[in-house]
Amino acid sequence: MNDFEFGKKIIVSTLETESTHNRVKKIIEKCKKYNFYGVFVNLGYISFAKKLLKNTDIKIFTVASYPNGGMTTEVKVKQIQYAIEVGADAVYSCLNYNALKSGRLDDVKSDMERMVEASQNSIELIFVPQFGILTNEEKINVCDLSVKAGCRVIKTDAGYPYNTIIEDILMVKRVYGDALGIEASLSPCKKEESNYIINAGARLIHTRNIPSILQ
Amino acid sequence: MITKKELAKVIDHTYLKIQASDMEIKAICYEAINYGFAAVAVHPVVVPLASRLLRGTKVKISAAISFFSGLYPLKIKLHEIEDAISNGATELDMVMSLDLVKEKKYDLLEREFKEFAKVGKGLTTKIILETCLLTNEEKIKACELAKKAGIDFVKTSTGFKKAGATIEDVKLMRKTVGQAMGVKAAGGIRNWKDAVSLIEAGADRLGTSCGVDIVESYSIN
Repeated sequence: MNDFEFGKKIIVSTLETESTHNRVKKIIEKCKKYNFYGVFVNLGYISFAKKLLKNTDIKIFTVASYPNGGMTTEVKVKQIQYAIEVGADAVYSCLNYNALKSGRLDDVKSDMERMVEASQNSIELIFVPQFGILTNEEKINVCDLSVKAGCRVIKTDAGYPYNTIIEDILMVKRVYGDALGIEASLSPCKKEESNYIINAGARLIHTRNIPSILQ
Repeated sequence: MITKKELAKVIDHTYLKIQASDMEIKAICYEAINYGFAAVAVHPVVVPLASRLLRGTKVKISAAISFFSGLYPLKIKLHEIEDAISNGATELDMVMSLDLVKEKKYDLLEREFKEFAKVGKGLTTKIILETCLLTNEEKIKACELAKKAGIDFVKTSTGFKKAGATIEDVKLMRKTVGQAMGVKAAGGIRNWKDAVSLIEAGADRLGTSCGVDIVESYSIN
């Protein structure tokens, strides 16, 4: 994988509390320079990012209830609708971890279904199950429910504070194959480690740091 | 020195782990009742459960709004507040939009604060500054605007960033807002010595996940 191909696997985050227009602009300039696949911005920064990324193929992604998953379904639905209004390419949404950890799988499912319904045909919706806090059984449960709810891609973790482990990618690919796409979270993002994750079946890598290899 | 009971009364019993199960939330609520804490501070997703458990008690239900970046558009923030109120929240701890301070967009910050005070009218409103990311000048400005907007408390931190409440910040915030407004210290409060020194510095509410240990180890009755 050369640097260009590597760059096309990278999504850079600008979601930190410290984000300002100036800071986001600087990161977007780097996205352009290194031809990254996409950039993660807060809901309020989508229009700004769109202007800066006009005439490029770099995608703009945003989030719902991120990274804690502490918001209710109602609020997540509003965030998805907002993301559609301003024209983001995809929205990454946290799930109802409280219901999952309490064994209320019906509630996990209805939360997912409401979000899928809100996103229908207008924006790509990707779930973030937070594998770092889940048992293997919970991981499989959440993947099953995602597929049933109509979500075809998940991102393992929000990256606060958990990073993706390769075993999770291998497990998801082995169980679901092409039925469920998987993306990884890796900060810091080193090329060698990223290679392993991609070869294991991850389609994209999310990071808070511009990969040092490209600097 | 304040008594054990008085100490418990200023503590917001905080539980913001993303993997919180219903059992854990129940435990937090019962602890809050038993120890006489001011409130439980939880994510909105568990507010309905906390509200059911705490109905008819003195313990308030505080919802963590816009956690933890605070960087949501105002209309999303307001929607989250209304949703939390409809689920039974009686207090609101909202993260301010830090970018508005950093970019000196004070008119927009003032609008956010005023709308917060308006939508949260009748409840206790607390605005979180995330002081570890601000200069003293920025802290003072945010405190002044919060006071002007009619918010009930200025609060130091979410507890999710590199540092939480400091004595210096609490003193500065108290000095800026005067006695008529609340100052909540949160983040990194691990033992009764931390708690008491923050109260002496001017805090009249403390956000901590160590409330039980703090009160249990405090020796003055």
